[in-house]
Amino acid sequence: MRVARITATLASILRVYAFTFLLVGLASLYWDPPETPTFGLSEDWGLPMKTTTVGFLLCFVFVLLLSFLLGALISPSDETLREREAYFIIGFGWILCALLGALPFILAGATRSVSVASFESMSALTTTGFSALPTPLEQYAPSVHIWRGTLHFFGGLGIVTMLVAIVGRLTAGGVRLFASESAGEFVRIRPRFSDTARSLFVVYLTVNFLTFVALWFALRYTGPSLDWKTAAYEAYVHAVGSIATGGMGTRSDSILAFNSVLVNWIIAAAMLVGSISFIFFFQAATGGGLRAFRESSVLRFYLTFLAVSSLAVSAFLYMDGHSAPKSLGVGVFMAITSTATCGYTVLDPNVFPDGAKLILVLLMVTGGMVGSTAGAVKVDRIHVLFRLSYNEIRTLLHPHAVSVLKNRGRIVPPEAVRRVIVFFFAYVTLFIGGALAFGVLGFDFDSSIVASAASLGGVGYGWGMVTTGFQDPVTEVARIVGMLLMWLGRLEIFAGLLLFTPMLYKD
Amino acid sequence: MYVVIGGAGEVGYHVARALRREGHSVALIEQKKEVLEGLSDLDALLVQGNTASLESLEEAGISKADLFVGASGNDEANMVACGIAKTFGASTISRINSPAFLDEPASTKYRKIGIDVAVCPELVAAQRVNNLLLAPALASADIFAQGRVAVVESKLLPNSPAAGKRLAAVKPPAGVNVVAILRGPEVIIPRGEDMLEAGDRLLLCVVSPDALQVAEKALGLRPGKPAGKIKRAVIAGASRVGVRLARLLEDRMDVVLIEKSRDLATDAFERVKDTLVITGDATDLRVLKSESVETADVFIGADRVEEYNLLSALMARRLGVRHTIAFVNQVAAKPVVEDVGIDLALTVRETTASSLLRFCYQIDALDLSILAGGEAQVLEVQVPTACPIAGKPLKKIDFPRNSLVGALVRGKETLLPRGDDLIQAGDRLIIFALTEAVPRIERLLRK
Repeated sequence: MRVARITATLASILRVYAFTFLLVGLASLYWDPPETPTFGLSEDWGLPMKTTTVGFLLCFVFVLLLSFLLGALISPSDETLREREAYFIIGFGWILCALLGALPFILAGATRSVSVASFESMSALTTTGFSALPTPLEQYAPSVHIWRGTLHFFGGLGIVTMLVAIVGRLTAGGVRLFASESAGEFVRIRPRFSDTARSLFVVYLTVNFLTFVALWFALRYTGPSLDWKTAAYEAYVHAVGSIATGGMGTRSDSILAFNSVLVNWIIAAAMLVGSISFIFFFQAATGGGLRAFRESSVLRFYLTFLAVSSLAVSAFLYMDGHSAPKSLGVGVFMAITSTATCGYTVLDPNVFPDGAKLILVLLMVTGGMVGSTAGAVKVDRIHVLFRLSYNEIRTLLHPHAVSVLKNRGRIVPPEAVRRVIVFFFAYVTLFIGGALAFGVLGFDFDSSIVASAASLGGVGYGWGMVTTGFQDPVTEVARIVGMLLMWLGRLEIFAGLLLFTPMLYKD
Repeated sequence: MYVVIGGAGEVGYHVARALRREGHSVALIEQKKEVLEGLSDLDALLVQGNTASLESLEEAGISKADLFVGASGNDEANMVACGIAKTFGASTISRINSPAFLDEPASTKYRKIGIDVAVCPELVAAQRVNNLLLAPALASADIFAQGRVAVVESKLLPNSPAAGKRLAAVKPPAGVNVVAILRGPEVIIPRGEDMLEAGDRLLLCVVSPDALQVAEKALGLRPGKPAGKIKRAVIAGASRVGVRLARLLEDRMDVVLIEKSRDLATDAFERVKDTLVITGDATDLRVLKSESVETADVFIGADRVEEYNLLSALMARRLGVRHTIAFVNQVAAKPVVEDVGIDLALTVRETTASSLLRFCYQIDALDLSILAGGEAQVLEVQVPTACPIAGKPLKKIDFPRNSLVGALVRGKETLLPRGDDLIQAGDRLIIFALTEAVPRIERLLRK
């Protein structure tokens, strides 16, 4: 591996990343109250600005300097990125971004613990949504929430996709980065990969904006009737949280605090949109109409799966004594939030009957569609596995029948099928391994299962010991396990595991 | 008309012969010397060379040609040759086999590059089988007007009450028309005074299955096998015809496609929807039994290798499959195959020739079938609006002697016309004619 190539690419990622700190710093000037709670840090500084603003601006300068430093090491002569370098950059880039993203939580005074800040940042960046900041969340300055939302926004599409979309060309080998970050088979919807990234980004921006507008109106004029300034920031945090399927909110009891059915349904719809392949939206927007949606057998499978499991969750709630409309509403919302791997809740998950919890964990493992911001196994792979199983049964009767999988009339290559099976195995193994680790660290059975499923899948809500997240008394070691699972889940496991293999570093 | 035909294989030859019989001038271009040498009996200009080469085309007289037919087995050559012919002002018809280029029986989608009509012969052949399986009886039949008119071939038994009588005296029952008598190699388009002989094969135009059974009894014909309800089909061979047939049939029945080669089977699997594709040898009894072939209603040998089709169809028949169809390569092999007990033998080449020929005419031929190796034709023609025959009774129309209107379709009505019936614009006529008579029919019904 050539260090200069890697640092140069990381530098270009950081150069874009730095400006998110600046933007949130500017936002803090407007949104943060003059007397921002700073947990005892502000008195010592004596600066004529809000401490949160200073914190974000310091981060901006630091990250920018770091990017220049990394970029200035050596100017690389050979432009192409090798495969191993690309994988290292992806794996390490996410860790670096998460660590740098932790700085504002400390500088803005939200926490003093490095593990809490890092966990918060990793959780936000991987669009998981578990929190480690001490509750209640209402005590933090708006800029802290805006920062968490912005990390969601940045991590939703993936850091490389964002970078390519914004600065255009990355490097000659950048297409490898792009391909290894997007889940499964990445689809070129336009001939140039930078155009593909840009198209995805435009779709992403558009749906975020539409959700923001809808939420702003709902928060301003119905239900909570917030003043327009508060409504704007609440709408921003929840819009990016839904579309990026992150799930971090501004209140400790999630969106229940708004007590607005309209807000709930807007968020449910946004989460669903965030879990459907953005390629479909791109094709619809560029004159394809609804064909892409209609013709997708995966989408049909996904929606059927979602409908059936919603009804199952609703049935369990109904049998547990909730009213029928409430059961149905909560069932649908919770099914979407789980499979879209978002994590907003409309009812304290601790009151759910065991059967409902079981289905929700299943949905957390399933996940949304490839090409969306959702995580976990992804329903495309589940679809393949279901069809493989059907073929296997059919082969018993017709041992000589051709039984390969087809997708839109094309045969799925055997290597692709193999990758799906191996991925599923690795995912389930990690899920069980994670649950075991949490169990060893003192979690009870329910909590360790949901903590593992929700971390690995990037879901970010749970029950038992992780009802509000990974706050104390959850130990630092458990937080590190959680971060590791979130990171591996976001990198589709193998790209992450590769960093731990010595063969990556041997040339 | 001056016609240049690219490719003198069996397809090109059949088209050339039919056009020649109709009195047109024909030039043939063929790469292989030995093929050309075998065509010495054909009164046509023979040019040796590549179909798509400008020199060969010019040598064949493309500059004065009215029509170019790309009939070679090479799609690209046919297409390029059509493009060149178009620059000389000829109308063009191209045979295109590959599904990548063409996935419909006939299309005008390549008009912009100089191909007026592109024809996919395999698809036409597959469609023909598909139609046949809708027929009331599966005996050398053909289907016209979307299945509303069936043409059935049936043999006059030795003890037939009709043998030795004039056709006028026999009076076939309502709903059945005798449209041709096949006696040895001879084809007779009958008039009332023609005699019927034992052993004659009659072509009957039938509009209802019941009428056919009545006619079989009344005329003393060998009873045909009623097709019954066909719910399960087994196709041997994932050839182009086989795969396309599977795609046509899978919408209305269970289809099993058996193919020897794993690669071809996988390719076929990619192109079908619900068909069960089996990798195996259709002449291997174990394969046939493990797929319960005996429960099939029809077995179709559609491989490229005719012996394989014949053998697998015979094995299927032995296992108890009611109907067996086999594709053969040579037109001459058809009666032989039917003699050993296969219900129906078909050749792709003959179908190909007829599907190309259909577009050679200057009339609105909706369908065309070749009878008795090219001696006679069945044409489905729509009567154009500004046509001199429209509005006249049938007997006043000057149809050539060796032709006969077997059936008439008007809107939802299908009738077997008699002399007094009026012909109207928009009617679809099913005409039986000796090939020589076709140009005169063409003149009567010109667009």
